[in-house]
Amino acid sequence: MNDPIFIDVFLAVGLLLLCGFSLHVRDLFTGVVTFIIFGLLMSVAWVRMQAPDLALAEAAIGSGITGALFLGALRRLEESAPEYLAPAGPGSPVRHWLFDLGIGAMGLALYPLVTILVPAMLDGPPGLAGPVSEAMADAGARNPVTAIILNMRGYDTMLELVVLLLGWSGVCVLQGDLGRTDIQPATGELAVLGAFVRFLRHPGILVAGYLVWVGGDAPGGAFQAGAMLGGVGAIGLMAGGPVRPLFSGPGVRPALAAGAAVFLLTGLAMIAAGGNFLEFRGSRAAALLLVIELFSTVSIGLVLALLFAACTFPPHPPKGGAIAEGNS
Amino acid sequence: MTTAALYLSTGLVVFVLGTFGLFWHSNLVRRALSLNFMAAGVFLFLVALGRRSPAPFPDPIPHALVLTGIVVTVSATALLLVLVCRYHETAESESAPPPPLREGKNDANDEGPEDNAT
Repeated sequence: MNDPIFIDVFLAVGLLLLCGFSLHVRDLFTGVVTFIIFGLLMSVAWVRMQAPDLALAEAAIGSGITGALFLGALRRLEESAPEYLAPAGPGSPVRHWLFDLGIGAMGLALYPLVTILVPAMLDGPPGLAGPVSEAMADAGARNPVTAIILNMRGYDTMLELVVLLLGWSGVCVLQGDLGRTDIQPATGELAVLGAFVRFLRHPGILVAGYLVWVGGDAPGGAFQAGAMLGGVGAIGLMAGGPVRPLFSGPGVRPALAAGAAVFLLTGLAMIAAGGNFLEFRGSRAAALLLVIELFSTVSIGLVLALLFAACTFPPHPPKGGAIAEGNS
Repeated sequence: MTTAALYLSTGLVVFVLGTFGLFWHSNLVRRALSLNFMAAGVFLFLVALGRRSPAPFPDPIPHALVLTGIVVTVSATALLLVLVCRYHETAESESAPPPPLREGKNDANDEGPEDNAT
């Protein structure tokens, strides 16, 4: 409470302005870039709210990967729907004015109103911080967020991994090539990017490994590390080169399912050991959680990179398929 | 006014702005963007609510929920964007006239003459 609140005021106003600007601006590319900046500011806001796990996740996934998805989709839509992205869109100026008026009215009128009403919402019963800190004793992780994600609310997280798989399979169905993970290769002009990837991949994997390892004690964990891997994979897929075979080999689908499968099997093994489903307790808990996290990280990274590829590359190579044939 | 109250109200307003954008824009990528803003507003709101407990550290349950939410949002966004891309590609290749997607679909109230013409 002794923190200087002007930083928070600055952040809050900045978030609102960026949100309004991103929805207002007629050039969609500018809107997406503004969204990425919004995400970065969000991650600073998470730090201000003492949620460093979220700050990492927001910077890596909420802003980074989501921004990449949007930019990839814009690049892809440039070919199929160019008029859709025209900076001075064909809408009437009156309509645009009305939209700005609506955004401004909501921002200006709602904000004071909400600020008056909000203290009442903060008067509710206390949260679950107390019970959580009691249960931390044999949760297998000293970072409460990791303990909750993998142990206390393991059901959520296991199903979340399944949701990622569902997202990927939905994308496969839409792309019309279920089971095909070979991706249209990039052109030669991305040689610089390729060199960058060769430079980046090892530090990237190292950072991801560190994030998993440290996740039990400090901010970090499978999702942040997976996003790191996904980012490296996404750049690698754009650049072509040595990363690409990793995403089209026969081991891709088992690796995609590994996170959810290992989580489920470990949870079932707990029943066999006399406990409850997905309940990790005692001295083995830390090791089990680490195993789950390692497999989840690989799956999450792979899914995120493949989702990016799906957003960016059309399913079938264009007519001049010489490059595609040559590389596959 | 505390930090929690500040972010709580910011989250609410970001959510409302995102909802407004979602219903106003007919450009599908803009709608996906608006959905992401709505999600960001919900996350801010949820985590700010977690700060009401008097403990020295904030309630970690909303943090875990929001972490889950961020990952689910990214997979939903990817699915949505691929859907949009496929929509435009198939509408193009089958030479069916794509429905009017851009602004101007619903502005009968802005442009009266068109309304009379129909």
